[in-house]
Amino acid sequence: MTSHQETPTSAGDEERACVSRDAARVGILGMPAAEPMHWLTGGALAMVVLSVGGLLGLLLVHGLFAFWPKPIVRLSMTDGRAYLGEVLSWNASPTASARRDLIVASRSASDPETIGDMILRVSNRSPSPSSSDSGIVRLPRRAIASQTIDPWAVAIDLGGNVRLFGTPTAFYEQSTLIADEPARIWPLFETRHREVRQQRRDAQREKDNVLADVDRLLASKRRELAAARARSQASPQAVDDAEEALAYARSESDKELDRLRERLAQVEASTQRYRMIVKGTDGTTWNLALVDIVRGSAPNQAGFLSAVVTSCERWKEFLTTGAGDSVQQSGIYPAIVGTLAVTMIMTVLVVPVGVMAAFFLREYTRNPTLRFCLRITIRNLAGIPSIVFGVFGLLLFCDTIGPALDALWFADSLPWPTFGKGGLLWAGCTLALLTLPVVIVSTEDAVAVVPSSVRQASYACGASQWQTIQRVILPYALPGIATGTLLAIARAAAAVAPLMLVGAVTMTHGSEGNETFSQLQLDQEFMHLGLHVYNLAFETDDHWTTRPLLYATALVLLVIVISLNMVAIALRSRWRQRLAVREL
Amino acid sequence: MDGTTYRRGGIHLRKRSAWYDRIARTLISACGLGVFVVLGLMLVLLAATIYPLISQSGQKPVVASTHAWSVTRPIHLILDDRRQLGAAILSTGTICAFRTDNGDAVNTWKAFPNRKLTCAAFTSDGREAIFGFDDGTAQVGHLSFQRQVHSPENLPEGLASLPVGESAVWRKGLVRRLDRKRFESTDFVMTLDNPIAFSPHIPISLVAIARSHDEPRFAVLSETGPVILREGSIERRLPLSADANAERGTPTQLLLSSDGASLFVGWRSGDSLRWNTASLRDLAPPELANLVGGDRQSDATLTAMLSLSERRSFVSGDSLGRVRRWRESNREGGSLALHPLPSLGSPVTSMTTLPGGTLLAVGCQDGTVALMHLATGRLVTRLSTDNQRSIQTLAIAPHGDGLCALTMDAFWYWNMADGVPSGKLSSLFVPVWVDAATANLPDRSSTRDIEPTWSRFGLFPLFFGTIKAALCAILFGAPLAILSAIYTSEYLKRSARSSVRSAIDLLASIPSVVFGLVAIVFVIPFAAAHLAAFLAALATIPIAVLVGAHLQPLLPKAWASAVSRWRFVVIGLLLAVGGVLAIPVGNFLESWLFAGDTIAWLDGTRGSATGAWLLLLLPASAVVTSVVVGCFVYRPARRTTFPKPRRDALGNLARFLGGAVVAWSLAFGIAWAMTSLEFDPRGAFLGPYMDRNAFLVGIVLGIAIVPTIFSIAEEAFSSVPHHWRAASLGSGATPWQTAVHIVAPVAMSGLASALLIGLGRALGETMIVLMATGNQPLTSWNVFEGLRSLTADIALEMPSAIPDSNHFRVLVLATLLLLLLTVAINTIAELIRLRLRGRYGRR
Repeated sequence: MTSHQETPTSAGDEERACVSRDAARVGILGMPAAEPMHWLTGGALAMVVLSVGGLLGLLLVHGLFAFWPKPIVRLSMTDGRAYLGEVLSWNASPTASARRDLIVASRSASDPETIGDMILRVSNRSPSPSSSDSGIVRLPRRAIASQTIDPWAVAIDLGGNVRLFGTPTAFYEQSTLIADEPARIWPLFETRHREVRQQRRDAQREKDNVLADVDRLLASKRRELAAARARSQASPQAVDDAEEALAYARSESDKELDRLRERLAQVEASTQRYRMIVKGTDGTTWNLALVDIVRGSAPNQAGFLSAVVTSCERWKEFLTTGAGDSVQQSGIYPAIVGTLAVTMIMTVLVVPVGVMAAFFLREYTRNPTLRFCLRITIRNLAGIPSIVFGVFGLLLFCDTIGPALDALWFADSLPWPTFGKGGLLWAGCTLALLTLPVVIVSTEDAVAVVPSSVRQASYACGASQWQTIQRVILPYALPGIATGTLLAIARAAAAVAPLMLVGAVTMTHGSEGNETFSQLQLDQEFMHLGLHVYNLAFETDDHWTTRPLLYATALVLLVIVISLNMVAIALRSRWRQRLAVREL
Repeated sequence: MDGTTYRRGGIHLRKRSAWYDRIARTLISACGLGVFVVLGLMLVLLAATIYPLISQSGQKPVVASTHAWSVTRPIHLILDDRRQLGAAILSTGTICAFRTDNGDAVNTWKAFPNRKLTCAAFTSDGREAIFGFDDGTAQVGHLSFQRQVHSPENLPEGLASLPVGESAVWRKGLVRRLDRKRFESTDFVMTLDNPIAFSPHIPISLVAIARSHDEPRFAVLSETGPVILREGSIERRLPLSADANAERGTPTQLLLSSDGASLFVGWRSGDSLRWNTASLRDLAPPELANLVGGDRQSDATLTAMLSLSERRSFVSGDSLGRVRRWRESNREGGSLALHPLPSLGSPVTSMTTLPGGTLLAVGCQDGTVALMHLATGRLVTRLSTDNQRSIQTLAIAPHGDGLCALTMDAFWYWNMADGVPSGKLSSLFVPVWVDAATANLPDRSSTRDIEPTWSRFGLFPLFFGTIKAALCAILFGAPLAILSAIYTSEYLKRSARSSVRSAIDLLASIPSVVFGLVAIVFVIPFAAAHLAAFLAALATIPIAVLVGAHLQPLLPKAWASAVSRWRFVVIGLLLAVGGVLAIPVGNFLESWLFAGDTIAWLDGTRGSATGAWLLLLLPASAVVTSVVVGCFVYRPARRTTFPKPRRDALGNLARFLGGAVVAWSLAFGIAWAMTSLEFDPRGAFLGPYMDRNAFLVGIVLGIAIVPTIFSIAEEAFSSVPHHWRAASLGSGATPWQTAVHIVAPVAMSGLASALLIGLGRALGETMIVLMATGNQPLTSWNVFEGLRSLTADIALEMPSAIPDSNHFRVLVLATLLLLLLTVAINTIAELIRLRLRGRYGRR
């Protein structure tokens, strides 16, 4: 009986006052009576609230720490083998079959400390996750003889999912030994590595620029020549001139390219200057040029602050880079772009239509039967499973409207379809259908609370219906419409199932030119955050390395969807309050 | 209406504004009515897409071509997947490739020039063969159709003018024009491995072949001597006792099951010997069975045998036209189970089926071909050839869309509708054998290795899966949501309500793919590792809360009022306590009732059934006891004029604990009795544990549908007029009594609509079910087994379905049914809700 602290605030609360008085009386006479059901219902609510909190907290923690450096341990097993690698899981539950074998083998083995497995990522030289050299080993904890944390163990990424673990033993500059103990090698490595990588990046950029310039120059000369040829009847002299100019440009650019090549060779030689020797387990040593190392880290040395910095750097890279060679190393930039693009298309389509439909329902029909049917239809649309919208979108847009458009406008490229397949536009349209009821219901609610006095005042001034809507009701309902739009966007960003049918794909490739917004095209396939989560969750080949990406992607999706929703909910309660005040 | 327009003059302005008004009216009305159009278009488009399916339904296959053909005894027939080219292997060792549209021979050659073919056998996919010869050797062959795309330049002049879509004979195969620039050639190719000598100079009389591993496994029987079974370099000899041969004559059938795990030798009399050859290392002695007997007409003889692609099952045909399907039980040394198929009345001469398909074609001596649906055991149709000559051999096209038969003197080819093998739409909705009997599927964790052909032939398991998942979700989610709604509307302060609503809104906004992820990554591994604790938590958490409720009045006065102020937090702590307690309780129960390992115990092979009965009965007995105690034993403290709170509280606690003991003993007593009567529920509602199962999906999906149910139920509760509630409380009822006896009956229609809409959500949910169920089309009520729902099936198969194929149409049919189902549920729910709103609506 929590209500006995409540004081009646308005006339509408008088009934509650009775409740509080009643509860207070019981409280005075004795202690409040035990009400098990009170507690049980509270338990149900607490369970729901806890599951919301637990779910969000779990994903938040896992997501935020997805790129936290993991310690590198050295394990020696009872059978004499030794491993050096990153700990992916200290105590993973064994696979179902292994567990069964264990229990069948010995009933006493169910000691939880020894039954688990340790999952380690060790050095691998093969980029393929499915090969036996994937670098993931599962070691039964019972077989571990000793476990040490080597302070100078380092992880060296060579790109392409290849990672080496070892201790640095020597650092060379041009074949002269500079340092030979880890504590001195590592700071050297960090500064020199940054330096040479920067040099290589600069060289790469310069190369790209020069090549682009040369291409542009030659293309323009070629165009001039073609134009001159077309006009050759009028001025034959111009053709010769143009040919000459082209030849000159060619020779110039050849010279330019030669110079570039020379410079690049110099840079390459200077970047190859530094080498580091890293010693792995079993006496393997790797002689690595610093410039080939994508990333080097010494997680066992890292303090909290440097771990935060590393983790932030990895996050930035994750959010801003596109597809790598494989799912495991790709960033989610294309997925974010795809999600935003499809949501934008959806918004542009759904908001006007939804708002107008709501106005029709509220302002234009006087027929109660029609209104009733319309309401039922809208509720039904809201309740139809999203996958049905996906199938409908596939049938209507990709299989009916798309081919018609192709036949009309893109007949040249047939039989390869332009719009007759899934793509951004069709996905946007499908999502617009899916979110239509959200916008209608929200707008309708907002229009419903516009006081009729305001409306009547407008009519009394001689305004027409449209003018009333446009100048009076629309501004009044604007916060409601905004709420509806945000909710619709959140729903669209969370919808995955329909997109699987209308054009979302697992991977797009950078070369197809969908890395940035300016290059997006309406007919192209796209990546989507939600679908990316689904794909990563089913990545069974290599799930220990994809898990961090999965958590991070899910966190990004969750942050986008939930922040949209929170803004919408806050906005709604704001305008409801304001309207309530105004009504008083 | 700014100054400039005003000055232009009233009439002008009015005209323009009227014009705007008209445009706005048209546009807005169009958008408003567009809502109907969307729903209508959805129905029409889906229905139009599946129309061909309905119009095909019940159609017989049509004879596409028939052609006189005189060949000596064909033994095998194979068709390519575009149904253009076929190949017949004749008993003389000649191979003849022919066109299916007119029966013209395209290419004929002798495959074994120097030896005489005595017998041949083929794998169930028809791609590999073994041939036995009279010189005691056998040879493995690989049959395939090779396809190549050509440009017109590479083809002779005459073909360059071929119309698009037509085909012609070229080189040793068929060439077909795809479009203006591309031609496609198809050739039948057979490559042979090196011959293997088995019994020098004694002809091989029977052969059999199967492929389950990298190497084909085959069996060879010469006229004298044992059966030789061989895979790679491993060879086993299985002797047939001499007196058996003397008694029965020479064997007439040799068969390996499609996975090679069983070997049969059959005699004319129907006697058969069966070896379990799952491992070639240790072979048990064979089992004897008669395949034609079983009733008085014992003069029947075994005429045909065919292994099915489903593991360890095969069909036999006899001279009375009876077709029987046999299945070996999964257990070691198990017997054969018989499923009779329709009897045909004429000796069976030839049988064929498709790998993974459920269509069986049986040719008879009277020249008819019967098509049977293996999954349902029905006769689909019977096709007849005109001249009543015995059917020699049969083939079904790889996509199940064509059927070819050879008689002694003619060639017959039928076009069939693909995908719906029974030819009747209704066959999609009946239970199928495949699932009922194949209970022990291997534990597959990924969705990717499930063949689409499984569900392609039946929607029943998918409907079953959808309903099972939705029921589990409702059972878990609905009580949670409704109790939460009661707490929010009846107990919670008004100021706290909006924050609770926001929390629930937050839950509603979590994308379902994130729920799926949480299920895969956290819930499923946790449950697999601590199943007993997981089950125990379902009991310990509510018990912890209830114990807390009863202990509160016994606390010192200051403490008790502090607890009632911070009740929600205390309840949260109690939940945590219950959760933590679940681990020791679970461990205890596991060692006491579940044979030390719950997952192994669920298989039903160890431990006693008492625990299973307890799991099933405990919730029921708890509800019954609480109702009984509540009605007959529980007396509210306030009835007494001079309450003695401490004594009452102690009494209540005693009642609660007593009730708990009674509930437990009741359940335990019944469980014990049922166990001693040797009823074991394991195998029905409980059973072998799969990692991704309906129980866990129920929990995750249940949480996901809580917001839907909660918001509508809460709205219904809040819309009950306050003065009713006040009157009830004023007459001395507790808030719970008020909620149950006053508020709930009034809000009942709102509750019903909340449940219905929640059910609609659960039925239509895609991502959670797709990610957390394992997607196996099983039809068992075992809550620890996976399922495959309609939505997941559509999401998995639609992207790869070929438009305009029957597979695609069946998927659209599934979508349409899902749409109709949810529309029906939502309409009913909405009608109920609007009625409620009209009656008690807040003004």
